Amino acid sequence: MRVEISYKFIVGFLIVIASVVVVSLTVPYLPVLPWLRQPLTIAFGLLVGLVVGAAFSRAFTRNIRRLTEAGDRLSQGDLSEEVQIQNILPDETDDIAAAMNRVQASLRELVGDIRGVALRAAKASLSLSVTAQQMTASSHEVANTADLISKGAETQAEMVEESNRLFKEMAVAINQVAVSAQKVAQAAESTVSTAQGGGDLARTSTETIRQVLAEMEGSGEQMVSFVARVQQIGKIVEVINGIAHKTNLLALNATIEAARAGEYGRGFTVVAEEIRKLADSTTDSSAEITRLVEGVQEEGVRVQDSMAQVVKDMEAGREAVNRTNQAFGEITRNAEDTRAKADSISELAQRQIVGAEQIAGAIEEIDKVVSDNAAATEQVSAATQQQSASMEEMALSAKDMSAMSDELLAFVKQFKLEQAEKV
Amino acid sequence: MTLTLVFQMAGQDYGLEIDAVQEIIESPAVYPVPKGGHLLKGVLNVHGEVLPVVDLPALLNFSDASRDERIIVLSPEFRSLALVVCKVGRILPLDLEQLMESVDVGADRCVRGVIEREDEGPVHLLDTDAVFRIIERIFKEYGGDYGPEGDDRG
Repeated sequence: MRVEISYKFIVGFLIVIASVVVVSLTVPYLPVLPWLRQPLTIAFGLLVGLVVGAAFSRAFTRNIRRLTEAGDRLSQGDLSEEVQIQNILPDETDDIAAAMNRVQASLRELVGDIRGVALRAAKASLSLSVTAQQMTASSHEVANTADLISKGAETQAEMVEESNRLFKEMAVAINQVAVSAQKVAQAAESTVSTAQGGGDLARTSTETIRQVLAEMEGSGEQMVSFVARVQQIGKIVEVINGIAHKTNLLALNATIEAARAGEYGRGFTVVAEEIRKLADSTTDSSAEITRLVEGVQEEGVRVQDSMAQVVKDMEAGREAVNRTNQAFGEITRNAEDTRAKADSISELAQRQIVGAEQIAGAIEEIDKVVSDNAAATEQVSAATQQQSASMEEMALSAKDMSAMSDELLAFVKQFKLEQAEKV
Repeated sequence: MTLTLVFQMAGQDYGLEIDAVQEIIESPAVYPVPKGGHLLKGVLNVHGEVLPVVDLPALLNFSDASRDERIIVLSPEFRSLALVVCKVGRILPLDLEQLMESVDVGADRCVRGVIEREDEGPVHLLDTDAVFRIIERIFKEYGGDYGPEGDDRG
């Protein structure tokens, strides 16, 4: 039951009055001296008045003190304790306490919110700072890389130039190869014709040698029959020689017989002598013939030997010419092969020249692209530097923000929200 | 002038008067006889008469090895004998008046002399009698045995 303070004072007053009345009414019935009755009643009235007054004022003062203390705490930012009013019957102090408690609650909520926001801001600014540092580092890396790319682009440009030069040289070399291949083809052509001429000559030689060999064979046969005839002559000469020998003997005996006949045999002796001389000269002549025949036979044997040697040599010559002919055939085939290969080399070289020109064009394209790349890389480098500067600024701002949130937190820290908590 | 049969022995010309010669036979069949030795070549049948064949160069101690196939058959009036020489030559007319004494280097004197010729070498005229004596002596010494010098005696 809610009683206002003014009514409480009235009730107290009424209680004092009532007690005095009650005492005054009850005293006559009390075994006390009459003169005492009056003072006793007054005293009792005073006593009651004191007791009640004291009780009231003490309760009131206590509540006021508590409210004051709560106000002080609030002003100091201590929001941890609520205001506790102990009234048997609630009054206006209870209202004040309730109002103060509501203020405290809403303040506590506000401070908690601020603190949470400040914490989040601090965290956010911290991570922002970290991110800015990382980004700065990244942009430094990007700048370094762009630097490297820029240097690489320079090297690339030099290499492209070198490649271009090399390809031009290569084109010249390929051209020389083509010219050389054409010369080789011409040389192979002339080799083919020469070798074919050589082959014809070798075939003619073979034919000539074959004819000569046939003639030689005929001559050899003639030589054999000639030697046989000479041998026959030798045999005939032997017969003649024998006849001459016998004639000689006959002439000797005839001379002896004629000598025995004395004067009558004298003419016969002369005849026998003449016959002997004839026989002797026949012997001499046949010996000469024999000598000649032997000479002819020796000569024939030598001729046959030398003919055999000539035939052998010519066979060897024919073999050699055959081999020469085969060799010319080989040479012709090889030269034709060489010519075909040289032709294909020439053709390939022509194609290579075209390819090399295309490659030179491609290299020029590459050169342009490389230049563009270099320019783009420089732009990237510049952009990265700008980014880096922005990042540094951002890092500074994040630091500022962090400081501000710290400051905010310091502010909020003054508020004590709970009993044990310290912010 | 006397017809003389000239033959060679040891490179020298020897002469034999043609009266001593009957004929010259070429390559007759000569039959060897036992113990004939090197002086007696064998025996020879000439017109039914058997003659001893004497190796004259061996008899005269010539070392000449060559022998003519022709054998000189001597006249029977002189001696029934056939001679083998190194080489039978010609029949020449020689002037015996030009005969000169010569030094006989053989064991016995069996050359009558030497006749010089203008165009050829000298001819030693054989002393047939001396040759026959040598042959006979040998034949007698060995008692009808034809063996020479007694090397086959026994």
